[in-house]
Amino acid sequence: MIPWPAPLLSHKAQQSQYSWRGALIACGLTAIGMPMDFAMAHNVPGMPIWPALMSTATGAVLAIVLLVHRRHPTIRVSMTVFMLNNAVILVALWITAGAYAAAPGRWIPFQANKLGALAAAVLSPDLVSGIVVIGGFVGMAVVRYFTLPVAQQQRLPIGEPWVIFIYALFALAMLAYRVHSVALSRRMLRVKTESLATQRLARTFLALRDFTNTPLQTIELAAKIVRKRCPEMTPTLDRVDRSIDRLYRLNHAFSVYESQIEWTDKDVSPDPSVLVDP
Amino acid sequence: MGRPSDVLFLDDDEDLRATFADLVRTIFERECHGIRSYGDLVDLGERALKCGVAILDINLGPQVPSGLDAYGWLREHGFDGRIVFLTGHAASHPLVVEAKRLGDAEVVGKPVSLDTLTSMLEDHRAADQHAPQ
Repeated sequence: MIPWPAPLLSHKAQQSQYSWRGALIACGLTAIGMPMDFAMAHNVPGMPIWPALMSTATGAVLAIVLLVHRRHPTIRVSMTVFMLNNAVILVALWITAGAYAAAPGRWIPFQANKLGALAAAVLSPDLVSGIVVIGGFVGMAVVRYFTLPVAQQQRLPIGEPWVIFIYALFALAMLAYRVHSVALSRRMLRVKTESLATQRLARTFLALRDFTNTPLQTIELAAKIVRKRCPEMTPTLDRVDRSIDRLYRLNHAFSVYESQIEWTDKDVSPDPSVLVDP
Repeated sequence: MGRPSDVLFLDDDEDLRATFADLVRTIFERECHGIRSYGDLVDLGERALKCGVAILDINLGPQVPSGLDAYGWLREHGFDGRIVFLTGHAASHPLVVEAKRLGDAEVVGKPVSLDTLTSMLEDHRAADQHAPQ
């Protein structure tokens, strides 16, 4: 039979895999990033260790959940994992922000929130989860600012916490651009897939036509010989001719596929036996 | 020995080859040399070159010389009869496109009707020989 190439992934399967990868990277960054944050802040007075541990453990567990689903990832699971991962990060950042703000040194506030918003723009499984998570990082920073004592608020650099809205604007623009680019590349892939399928069909039809042309020619010429030698067979041979004519018309119908073919070296001298041999 | 009225038919399909030769003898009352490959053509040598018409299948199978190679051999060795390529492939097939580019050979698609076949077998040398005295 004509070899049938492995089918390309469906639109939904591609989207699921893409979402799955983004969520897995996000969980991996949480599992690695939060211990690094704690390592840098462990000298800060009153800095608790449990937010970092909780985030790291959550990131690791969620990454395992995703790996368990790696064969059949779904957008729903990836979205849920992504949101949960970021919710836990927000809780951890809420706690650590209090310790940072109360520390005697100079604190550049909500750095992790700004980074998180940008990371969400790149890694979110879809537009909605991206907007929600970016909104979460921005909202948390603003609300946390107003929960700090006034004295701590006044120690923060100029423009804080409102600078995070600039980050949010950039993050949303990046998210929109990424979602649009992904949709565009999916559309292009779909068009390419359809084109490949048409080519494959055209190739099969033309191979069938080419394969049948010679036997049909033989039958037609043989009928002419019999007609000459045995005139009494004329009615029977007329029926043979009409049948052959119908097959020719079918063959002619396949001609429309000729324009669909982009010939390759393999097509120049195809082996017709691939059509019929199992 | 080959004669100008003889027909050379090159095709890798045994049934078509035998049927074609039978038809040429039965309907047209001419001799037909049916051969299956480029190697057979070379072996036939002078007898092939003396035929009036050569009908060559373009594609003689994978990984073997094609009808175009047979055409080249015939012309190189002074064959001055009519050469017709017979093909079951699409007009856009690279070998068919190359055959059309040759200029002094015709390309006819399979299946051919008896009328087309009759016109294919017309050759000036054969016509001279068959002409009434």
